[in-house]
Amino acid sequence: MLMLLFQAGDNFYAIDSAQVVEVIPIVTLRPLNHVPEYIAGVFNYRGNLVPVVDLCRLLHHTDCRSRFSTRIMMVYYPTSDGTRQWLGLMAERVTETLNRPDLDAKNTAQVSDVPYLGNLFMDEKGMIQQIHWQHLVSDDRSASLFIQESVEANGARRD
Amino acid sequence: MDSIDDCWNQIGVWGDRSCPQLETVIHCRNCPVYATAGRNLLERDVPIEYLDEWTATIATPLDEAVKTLNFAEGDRDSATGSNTLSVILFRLGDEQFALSVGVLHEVTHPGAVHRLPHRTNDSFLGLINIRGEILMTLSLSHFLGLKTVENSSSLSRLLVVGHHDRKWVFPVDEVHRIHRVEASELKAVPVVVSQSSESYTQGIIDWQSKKVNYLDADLLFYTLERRIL
Repeated sequence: MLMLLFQAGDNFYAIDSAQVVEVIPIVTLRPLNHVPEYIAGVFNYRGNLVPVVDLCRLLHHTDCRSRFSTRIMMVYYPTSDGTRQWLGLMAERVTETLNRPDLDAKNTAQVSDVPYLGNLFMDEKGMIQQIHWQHLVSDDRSASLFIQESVEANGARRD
Repeated sequence: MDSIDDCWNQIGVWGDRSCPQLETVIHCRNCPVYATAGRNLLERDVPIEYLDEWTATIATPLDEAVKTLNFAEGDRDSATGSNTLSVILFRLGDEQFALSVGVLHEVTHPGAVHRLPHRTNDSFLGLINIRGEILMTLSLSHFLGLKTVENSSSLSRLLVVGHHDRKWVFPVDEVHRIHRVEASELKAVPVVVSQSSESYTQGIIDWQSKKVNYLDADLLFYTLERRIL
């Protein structure tokens, strides 16, 4: 599986690259009110209003620093009503990919019950935890609520 | 930002080459220490202009951005009323030459040329194996009547050129790049040209204040076939 690596704090995390459309540099975000704190804001992505999740804030409780290596991973995921929806995932040190075809139950460990936290596995860099960002939008009530309300015009709907 | 330990300048390939890692990684650019230092360049704070520029770029719809590009190109073409040529620029001795990329198959590193008894001469150097194909190697500089400059620098390359099934291999002293020129920028060949290559020269291209001979590929191949085969 080809994964995109990023850091929150000093720890490494990885997301599956299959649904990542592109990785863009950090942009100016418009903050939103009354949304979960890990929603960093929205921005104009090629004419669409796209919400951005700050993964550093979600995982490490600090904002992503404004660095050249801080980037936004754009994902385009199918929703239950058949349309597709954009989401930006902002994290620090989004500079590397990792190909690990050998990951299975034997060399990974389930360490958390939180749905979006995936398995932990070992690599040369240290321990890397997989992040299942899909659960941020489909399971978490407030995030999906937020997307439904603010980007209704784009055809988003709760799962 | 922390100061950088530039070990590549001290003990690496740009230093005295005493680094023990060099035995395994050969060159600093393969070394993880060098790569990490490079990545750390990205750990700088971004200036606000950078943020604004990217915010504006990302806000532009993709099809519009493409349209703008196409418009710019179309505009340029209609202004000059002509199309552009893509040429590969290379050097033979002291002179620069260009060939249309339409006839270029590949640029490769020099290999062993096998001489043919009684057939090999100054122009026809012999046969060479290019990816399993046996191709004829010709000295273009001799064929064009240039002064032959003996050199075996690391810049020398082989050009594989030709039409369809007939391919030729030319050793050249250096391959610069692929260059795009407007057809209108091609200058006519001066009437008096001291060397014999003028009959194959279709035009002169100005490139980095050098004059480049744009060779007529069709005529060149036609003559080669007549003379060599």
